[in-house]
Parts: sequence; structure tokens; C-alpha cells
Amino acid sequence: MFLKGRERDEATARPLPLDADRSAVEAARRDPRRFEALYRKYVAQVYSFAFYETRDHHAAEDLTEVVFLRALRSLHTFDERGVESGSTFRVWLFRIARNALANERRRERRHPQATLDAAHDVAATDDPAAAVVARDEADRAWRAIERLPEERRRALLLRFVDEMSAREIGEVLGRSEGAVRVLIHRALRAVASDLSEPGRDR
Amino acid sequence: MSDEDAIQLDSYLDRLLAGPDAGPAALDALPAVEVALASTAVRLRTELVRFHPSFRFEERLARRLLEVAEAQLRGSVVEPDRSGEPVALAAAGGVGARGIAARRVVTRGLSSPRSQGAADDGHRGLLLGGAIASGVIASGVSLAGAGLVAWRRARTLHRWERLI
Repeated sequence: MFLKGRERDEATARPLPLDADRSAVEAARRDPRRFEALYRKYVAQVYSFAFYETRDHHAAEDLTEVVFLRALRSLHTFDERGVESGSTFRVWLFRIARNALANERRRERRHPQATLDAAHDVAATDDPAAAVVARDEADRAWRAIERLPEERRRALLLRFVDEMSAREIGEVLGRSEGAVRVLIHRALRAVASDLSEPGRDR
Repeated sequence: MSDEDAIQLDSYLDRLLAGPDAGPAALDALPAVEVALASTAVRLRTELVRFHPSFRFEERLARRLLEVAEAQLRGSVVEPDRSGEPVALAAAGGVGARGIAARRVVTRGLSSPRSQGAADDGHRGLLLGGAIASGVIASGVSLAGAGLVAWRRARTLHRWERLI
């Protein structure tokens, strides 16, 4: 990947973040059974990413399974210093998730199926009135996010749900940190505008 | 929008998403961000909760991973997944995306304590198996019929959130 002027400066000016998972990764390389620690740590993040992308819990489970099995099988290829491998285990894991999702999308296009909007399956609260309000609010936000172009939506979700930094998101999406900041700014502005319009999503 | 605006917003989000971990010093250096963007960010922070898969799924996948790991230790042939297609997992005994249609619906249950601790970093909303839990504070809520449980930790508003 070739970086231009400012992007190159940005990429070289800041040191690579330390990988908090380094010792766990090394342990899992020595003994694959130790991979469980990494799995337990990231299963909710990967599942959330998959669920927000697919809106279907079964599809999200399947994608989560694909991601972790692939990660375990390919752990020997992960190199935190390599540009292609990503700077941290988490970034590498989400790249696998992104690729698995792309494969699944291609498969869906070949064999389209109706999907459930799983978020509407259930509501959970003791207070039905509060549940209606909360659900309506959540629905509006969801719809606003759904209307975003794919890359903006994905950047926004990785930022808010998985709490990734712009740099990490850039590594997952193959974009510069600056480009991700702009993506998120535009995404947030679009959502703000959408939510401010009464009846926009009705 | 200038690059500077995007940088300011990024800095704001860093502090917002860090929550209490940002520390009091972060409040003094809070970047100026448009009110509309800030309030939307606060709202999304609340509503874009993290989901957790069912305990049953999590444990099933943990067992599957252990099987693969033990096969690796035994030196069994575990083909690297080069194709990128879920079918490769099905061939290896996994479920894979193609298993969706054939699989029965799983009633989702309680999450394991281990994974709760790992996944919930203390200030994020967390949902189990897709249940919507906005406003539910640190309590398990029984869902008759659905068999889903959700909870959410109390999320104290930070100073900059209250300012909006």
C-alpha cells in the first residue's frame, strides 16, 4: 500500500502501539489450547461487529465461529510488526472478521435469503412504556446508521461499539488514520442530521 | 469540514469513550466540538451497545476451538483456511455459514462469568443474545418466552455529557 504525503507522515510520526495481547499470543503459539484466553477476551467484540453488520444473531454466531477458527489456525502467520499483519492482535482479528464478512456477503449475493431484523425480536425491561420509548429511540438511531454508506457505517461502529482508535480502524479498513477521522466525522454529522429531522424515519 | 474539525472530534470521542478511565485531567482539555455532533456522540455511546453471544454458543465454540488446538498439538493435519469460504469449516466439522438453515433455534442463556468480565470493560452497555436492554441497570431481566437475559451496568454521566 502506498501512502501519500500527509498520510505517510502520519504513519511514520507515531510509534506503533504496544500490543497488550502479546504475551497471550505467544502463549497460544506455544500451546494452541491457550488461545482460549484471547477467544474469551474478544468474543463479544467480534460477535458485536458481526451482529451489527448482519443484523442476524445466527449469522453473527456463524461469522464469529469462522473468525476464531481462522484466527487459531492462522495464528502462526500473525506478525505484529508486519504491515500486512497489523500492529496488534485485535486489529489482525478484525481484519479476519472483515474478510469473512466480505466472503459471506459475496455468498449472500449468489444465494440471497431473507434475513431477520434480530434487534426487533425481543425487548427487555420491566417497564413496558419505557421499553417502547427506548426501543423507538434505538430504532431511530439504528435506521440512521443503516442509511450510511458502508465504509462510514463500519468506521462508526468500530469506533463506538468496539472502541477502536482511528488508527486501529484504519488498519482494519486499510485506510489512513486521517481518512478514518474524516469518515467518522462525516458519519456522525449525517446521523446527527438524520436524527434531527422529525419523521425522517417514519 | 476541515481536517482540524475531524481531529477535534476524534479527540473528543477518545475522551467520551474512555469514560471514567479518561481521568479528571481530560475534562480540562476537552476539545470544542459542535453541540449537534457532541450530543449525537453521547447518544450513540449509549445506544450502540456491545452484544454478547449466548452462553451456549460461546461454550460450544470454546469446545470446538479446543478440539482444533488439540489436533494441532497432536500434529494432526489441520488445513489452514486459505479459501476464505465458510464451507472449509463445515468440512472440518464446524457449523459455518451454510449451517444456518439446518440449525435449530437456540434459546440463549446466561453468559459465563469469565466472558462477562473480559468483555465488559466496566462502562459499556452489554447485551446478551440480542436482547434490548436500554435503561436496565445492573439487573438480570427475565424474558418470558424468549428466554433471553440482558443487563446493563449503570452508566454515570460524565461532566462533558451533562454539559450538553
